[in-house]
Amino acid sequence: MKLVLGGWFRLPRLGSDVFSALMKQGVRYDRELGFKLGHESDVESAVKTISGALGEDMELSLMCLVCSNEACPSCPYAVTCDRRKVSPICLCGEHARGPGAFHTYVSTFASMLAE
Amino acid sequence: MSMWSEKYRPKNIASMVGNEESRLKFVIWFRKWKPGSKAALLVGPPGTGKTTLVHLAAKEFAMNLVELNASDTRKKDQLVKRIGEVASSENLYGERSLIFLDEVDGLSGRKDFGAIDFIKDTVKSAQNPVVMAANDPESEQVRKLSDVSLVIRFRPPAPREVELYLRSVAEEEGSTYTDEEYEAVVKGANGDLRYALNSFQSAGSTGYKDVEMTTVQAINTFFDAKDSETSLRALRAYPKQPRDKLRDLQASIIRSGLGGDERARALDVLSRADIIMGKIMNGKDWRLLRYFDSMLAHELKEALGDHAVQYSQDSAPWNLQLRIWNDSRKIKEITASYSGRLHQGRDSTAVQDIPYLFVLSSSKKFRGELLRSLNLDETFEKFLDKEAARVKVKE
Repeated sequence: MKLVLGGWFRLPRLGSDVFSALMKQGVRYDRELGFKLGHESDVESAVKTISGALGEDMELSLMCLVCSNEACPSCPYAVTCDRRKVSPICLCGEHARGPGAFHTYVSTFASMLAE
Repeated sequence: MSMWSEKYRPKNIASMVGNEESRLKFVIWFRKWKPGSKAALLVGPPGTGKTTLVHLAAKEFAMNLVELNASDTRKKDQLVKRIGEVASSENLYGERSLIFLDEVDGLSGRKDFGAIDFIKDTVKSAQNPVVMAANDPESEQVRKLSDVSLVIRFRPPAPREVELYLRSVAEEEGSTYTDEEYEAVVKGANGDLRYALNSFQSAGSTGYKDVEMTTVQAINTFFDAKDSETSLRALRAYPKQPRDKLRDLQASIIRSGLGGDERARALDVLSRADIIMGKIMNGKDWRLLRYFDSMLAHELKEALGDHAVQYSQDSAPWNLQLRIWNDSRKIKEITASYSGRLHQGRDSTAVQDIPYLFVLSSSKKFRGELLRSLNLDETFEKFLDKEAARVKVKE
């Protein structure tokens, strides 16, 4: 299963023990949107919990700040980047390079601050 | 030439990179803060932007920043003196203050009587917002202070975000580099933006092909160089943190077949470099980093002379490691007992007093009295005798 950090995802019912473990590990829950692994989460432990409960390996990906798409496909740092330890938002290939990329990043964040 | 890490410090909160959710949460906390609200406790490794965020917030919200490093101002009465009044008042110009206590995990629960309780009381009654920062999320201090704080986690920015920042700096500087050159610097920086900028700048001044040097190439070039300038270029082309450089150099020197004197001189240089590194880290005096490679290159090359050293990634031989471990355990026990008798901290006792004890221990009578007064068993007799002999040899 692939988990996009910083984005919402759904899980099947895994029981109250798993749910309570995920809450302790800082995973956010919203009845409408599902679960979210963000900056407050202990990503390493939460991934172990989910992986153990589902009985399958987890593939982690970061989320692009600008377009909310997955950031990791085609990233030159995909092999060396430890996604469990870095800050969960990143940039996709389209928004990481190219003229005006930094300006787009700053103005996207500034508009989030202004909301 | 100014350091890029200083010249290109973010100008506002929006132009920082990484930790977007954390920055957002901090700003929301700041905007909603009113007397009686919780403090903000920023927790994360060094170089992740905690201090920069607080400085920029004070600037953007036009507040007077009162900053204290909790490791320097450790005791309750010192904290009362420095922040007691500020916490509950405006300054002479009517500006509100933002109180920033950095490195609160440096406070020791046992030695710094009352400091944590004082901070908790101050937060509850403060008329000005209090922000604290800590490196270790598992520390006892963070656990205690989280009762009165909104804990905000900081992590290293993702590599692509570090690259984004480097590209914006290169654009400002009017320089162009290949994707591979950016990737080499970003991979070596391990998420430390300040380090990435410094190594980007020094790599630019020495030629970018050097950046692609591996650890083996850089260390071997360093030792093989005929002059210290070539050694310096090798060190700068070596995209690792200063502490890692020291570790690699140390492992190579220990594993080399150097004679006792040369090895001792070389390790002495590394030991001094390590102390300087500690001072840079403690004082956050990053400007001094530019002299670090230079000092290593010139002094270490001089200490080694023409003696050949090759890269080795193995650490010290196990028997040496065991000896270091045993000796350090004994020094810690002596320091603990002796600092209690002196009524002073262990750190200052270890640095200022223990070396004199070793010198004085050459007298058997003194050794005996010392062991009795500190309640140490006879195994320490042999250790002190050995240390005293070592000091004599050095003389």
